[in-house]
Amino acid sequence: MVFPEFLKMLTLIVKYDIISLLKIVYLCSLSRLLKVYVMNFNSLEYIAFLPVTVLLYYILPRKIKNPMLLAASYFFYMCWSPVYALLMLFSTSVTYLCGILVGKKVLGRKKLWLVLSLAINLSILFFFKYYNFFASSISGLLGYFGAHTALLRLDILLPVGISFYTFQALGYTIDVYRGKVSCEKNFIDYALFVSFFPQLVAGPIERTENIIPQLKVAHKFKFSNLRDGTLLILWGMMKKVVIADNLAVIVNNAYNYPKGYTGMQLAFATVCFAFQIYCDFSAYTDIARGSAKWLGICLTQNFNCPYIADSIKDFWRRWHISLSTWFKDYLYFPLGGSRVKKGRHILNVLCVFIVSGLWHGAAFTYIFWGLLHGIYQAVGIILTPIREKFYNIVSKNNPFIRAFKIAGTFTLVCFAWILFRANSLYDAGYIINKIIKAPFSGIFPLAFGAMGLNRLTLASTGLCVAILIAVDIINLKKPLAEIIGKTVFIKYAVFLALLLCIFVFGYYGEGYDPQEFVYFQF
Amino acid sequence: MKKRIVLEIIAFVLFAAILIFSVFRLSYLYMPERRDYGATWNMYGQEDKNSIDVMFFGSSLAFCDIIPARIYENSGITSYVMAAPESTVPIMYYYVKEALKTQKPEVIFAEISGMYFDEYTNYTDVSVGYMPYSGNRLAATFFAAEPEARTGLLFPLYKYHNRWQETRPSKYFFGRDDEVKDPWAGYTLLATAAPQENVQLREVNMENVNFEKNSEYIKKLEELCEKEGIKLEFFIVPSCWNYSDENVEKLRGLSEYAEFYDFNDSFEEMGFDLQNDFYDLLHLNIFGAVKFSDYLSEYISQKYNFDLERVHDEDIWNTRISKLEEALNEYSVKVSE
Repeated sequence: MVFPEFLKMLTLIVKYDIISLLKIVYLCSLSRLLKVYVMNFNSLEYIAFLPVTVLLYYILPRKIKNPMLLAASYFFYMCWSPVYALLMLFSTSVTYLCGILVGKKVLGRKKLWLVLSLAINLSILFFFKYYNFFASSISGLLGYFGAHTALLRLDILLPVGISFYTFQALGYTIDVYRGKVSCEKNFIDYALFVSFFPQLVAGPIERTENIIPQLKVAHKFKFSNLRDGTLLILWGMMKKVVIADNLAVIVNNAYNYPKGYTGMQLAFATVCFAFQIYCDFSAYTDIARGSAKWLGICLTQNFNCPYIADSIKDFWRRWHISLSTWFKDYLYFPLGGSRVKKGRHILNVLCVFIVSGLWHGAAFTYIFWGLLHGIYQAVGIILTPIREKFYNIVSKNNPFIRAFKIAGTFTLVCFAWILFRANSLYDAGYIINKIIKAPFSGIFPLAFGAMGLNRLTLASTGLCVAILIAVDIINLKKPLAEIIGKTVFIKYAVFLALLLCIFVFGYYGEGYDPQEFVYFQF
Repeated sequence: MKKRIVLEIIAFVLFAAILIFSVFRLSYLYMPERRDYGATWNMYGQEDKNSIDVMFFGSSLAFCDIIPARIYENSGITSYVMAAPESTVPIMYYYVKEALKTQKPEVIFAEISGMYFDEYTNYTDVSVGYMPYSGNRLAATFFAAEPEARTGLLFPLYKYHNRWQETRPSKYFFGRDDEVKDPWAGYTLLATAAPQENVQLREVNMENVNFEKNSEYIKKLEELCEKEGIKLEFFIVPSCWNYSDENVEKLRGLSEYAEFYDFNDSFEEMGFDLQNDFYDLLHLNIFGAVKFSDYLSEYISQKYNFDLERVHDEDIWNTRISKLEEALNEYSVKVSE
């Protein structure tokens, strides 16, 4: 290739990238205010965005590092919705001011400012997330009693990540109120704590004491951070693109048209959903943690092998840990926790799980999903004495008993996932009915191939699920990253295997519909 | 510490090298086999170096209408069609550049109906996607392909990764099945006949045509051939769907270096049978292609002097001739039906 041609080509490449960049800016521009453009973690835009941000972070002077990260975080959010970035800014400003007012005991009333912060933020959350749900529910209820009144429904878009950043900001105000942390005076640092892009949209819901001190430090580039972060990102990408997105095909087909599938197929789709949502959500967390790690910041671990839990209580210690602990600290304990009478204890548990269900989405399916988990726990509390007697006879650590408990817990969790995934309560009832009444219908032939994935893809995805479970089990004893990191060549072999696995078995490319992360809707 | 850093660097370099190699190798293995309809670069790559006298470039009008085996049988001239489906002029230019890496023909014939094709046609992913990894492929990706196709062309696994399921394990060890010499030397056999009533006028929608860009690439092609000392001739194949005289004249005036011949001027002379020799309005079937190739071989041998002693694989050429004969016997019934 002659030199001028090469130069021209380089110009074109640059021009092409600038065009892509301009496209993003354009999509975020005022003329497209209400349009949504997604910078998914599994998109090319993010693959470009992250290294540029990290590079800028390390090369910029210390004073500009955090403002730059804040700008990058708002840019990241504005790719979804520029208008709702203002909402996040408002929420941030309110909690920031209330935090200072609470911390300084202005007017001598800590509680007033706390209540004000809670009221404003929860009102915003209610308005955007729950208003339409409650309006239609009340209309339906009134209609049931003969009063046909249609309450006004609002045509509004749910701000992405609102549940996550609102809870994070509220957690901060409550912690300041409790004197657990001092109020943050630097607005930039505080705003960055609320909007830090890796965990902004789907968590983990961070605590003040974990993030703000890390933001105060100007992190120096460390190769080990890059290496560990990359491993987390690749592992997350593999879970998302290879497992979750492939399983989503089966799940979406079955749950969107349940009448077309047998009880066995629906049960299979439910198990697939259990792994889809785990891989999808934990993938987001892994990529978020990996991205933050590149910047030298450690985010909370959000999952700890949830499907090897041997009780529902144990499951919630391992699943979406940042949300579970949030509810425990800011709702369950204030309600009295377990240090009350058994009846009240059960009520507290039910209350927390119903709220948790509602947090996930404004629909009865989520409320009943939460309620079901609450009922599981309530039954567990009631049966505690019987269980204890049983364990006096048979050892708790008996491997068969433990395997039975794990299988039982997994079954109960899967049963609850039906409510979570079904498009309506009616669909959920239909699916449960079909699974219970005719569980083995359609087992011969095993028509799983007819659910949207061919057998080879199903087999490769199944193999990846098996690897995932194995890694989870190894992680329980010692983090695999530590084991891998010790030997240079093994580490790069793992990188290579993960990348090739993503490239070959991944759900991407022409003819594929890239799947958003499931938890974005919450 | 130093040892660790050195190890880390070695491991990283190895990792990057294996990754790049694997991605390219897998992309190559997962792409569907290509034995006809142009862009048959794998088979072209198997041809003995510098064994071709004449090369034909262009679109399907070249690979469906010209039978190198017939030309060889008639004149002893070795020729090859390295065309691409709906090839635009820029793509044709990069094809010539790439093809000249292994062959040094005396003459290049470029079918330039593509001057009036839309700037981007339907098969860029095939035309550019099957080119060997090289600077020419990269240039074609950025200068000749539509922007939307670039991701798939730069990273073919994007398009073909799901074909791992159709790839036999033996391919990972022994390579693709189309890594053999093309028994047709770039020709694509069309066996059926669509009777034509008369020759029609082919309108051109100049709004979609980037004539200026195409002309620029014609100039580049001239420069390239001049530099390589290769004679260049532009031509238009005979068909029942012809450009207007005005449009043909525009093509005739394109170049001072290259000759131009519109074979429609010799349409009658070639003795086409409108009932049996056409696959459709534009393309000839095997019988039409034989008539055209007969005429072409005479045209070439009269106009240009070749060193017929050029080293070439006679076995493959004899195979090509027998294959053509077999096909003519086999399809004569089909066409007459």
